[in-house]
Amino acid sequence: MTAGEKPNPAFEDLAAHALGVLDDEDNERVLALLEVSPAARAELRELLEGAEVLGMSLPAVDTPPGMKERLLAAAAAAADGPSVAEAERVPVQPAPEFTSADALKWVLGIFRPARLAMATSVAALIVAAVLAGTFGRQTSDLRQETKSLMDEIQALESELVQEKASRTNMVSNAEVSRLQETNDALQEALRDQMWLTYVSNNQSWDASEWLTGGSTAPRAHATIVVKRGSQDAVLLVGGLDPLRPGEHYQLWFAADGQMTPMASFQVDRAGTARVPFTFSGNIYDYGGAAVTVETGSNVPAPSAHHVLYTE
Amino acid sequence: MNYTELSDLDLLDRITQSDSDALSALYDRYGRRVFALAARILNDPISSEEITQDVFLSIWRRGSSYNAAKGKFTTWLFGIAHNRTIDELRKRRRDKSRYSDDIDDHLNIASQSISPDDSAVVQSEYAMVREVLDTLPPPQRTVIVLSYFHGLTQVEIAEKLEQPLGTVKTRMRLGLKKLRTALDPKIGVEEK
Repeated sequence: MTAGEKPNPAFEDLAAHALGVLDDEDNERVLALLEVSPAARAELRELLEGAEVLGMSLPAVDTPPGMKERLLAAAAAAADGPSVAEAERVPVQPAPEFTSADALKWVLGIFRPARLAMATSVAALIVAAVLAGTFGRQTSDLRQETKSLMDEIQALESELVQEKASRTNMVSNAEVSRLQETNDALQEALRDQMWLTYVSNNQSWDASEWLTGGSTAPRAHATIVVKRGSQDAVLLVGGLDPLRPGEHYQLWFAADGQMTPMASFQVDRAGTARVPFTFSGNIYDYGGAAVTVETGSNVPAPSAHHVLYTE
Repeated sequence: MNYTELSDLDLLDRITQSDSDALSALYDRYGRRVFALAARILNDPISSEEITQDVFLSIWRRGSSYNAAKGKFTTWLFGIAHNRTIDELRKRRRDKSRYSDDIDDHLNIASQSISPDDSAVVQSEYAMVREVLDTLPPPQRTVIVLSYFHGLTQVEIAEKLEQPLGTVKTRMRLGLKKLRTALDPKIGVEEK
């Protein structure tokens, strides 16, 4: 915004416009602003590049088999027609059921259900063609055709067997190893996603405190969520190292210069933990929270080994 | 001609002349990432393919509408992809049955319905975006995630987090600006 321009409320909505989450009315206001304001256009350009980072940072995943061919077929259809705008996209082949477990295998490139389904469908069509031909013609040519088609079916069945064997081998070796290697860090990601999900979807819980790691645990982070109108809370932790035997993590709440122990916990191999606990009074009466590393039980005061503290 | 050596803009120029080989090359360059974006938000490979197809067909039909003065080609491309995906997400959101209000469902999701195999999918999708998001302070990160990946409006986010609307707008703006600076070292595929 330059000094010569009047402030426009729509300027504040440029970020939401860049993220595609404005309603139509607000969007119209932003578009009107962009028409007349070079500063708004420059600001939007920066914000859009920020949004692009999110899309580009997602790892590329394998697309369903035949997807590119369907796209190019649709493009060809569009190019052939008098009005390209009327071109229809090629229908995507629906999968009968695509479970999340299937999704895993598909993402890893070790499961090719569409290819198998296609081979099976072709085989079924061939059988149908054979039956139709049997009823329609009774010549030696037909017998030869039948034999040829049956050979094709046999070849397809062989391919199916090879396909299944290939899948089995891949799952049992490299991919299983890969799964094991990524599983730890994934637990952390999953829990992060869980709290984001329920913060966004659940009306009765609030994320009330954010904790970050100190110099001894720079990767550590945590969130405390509190059930509205109650003293029930959950501490969600990530990025902490598993402790040595005899040690434990201790959550403290600070109020009036006193540190009150709330819960002790350990983290899993991935460095994550989900710790339900209760507190007394009102959450807003507490001035902050911290997590320390402690040894022994019933520790009266926090040690100097802080790994998480309120921002 | 080796299309893989052409820049994005050269490919786009050829696409506007109905060169399907250029469209094929552009798809090879970005198709999997566009698909990944839709799949991450929708968690539905069928709809994600439809959206990916729509995005590239849109470029095929209206590639000439790209204006380099308004931003980079990839910004435009992923903007189209994200907008289409959020539109689809909002259609689905009308079906409230897809969303549970029971926090226990969320807290127990790992033990009840997420197998280790399923979790690997989550990890594979999250590794890099988490690294990028970790460059943001948590309050900004939350606002960005809720809007970009969950499609929530500023007002909806303000209500969910019980934060003033102005705070949400500020966090959204600062978060996007900070993300912009995280682009170069994080992204493996660079715009040609």
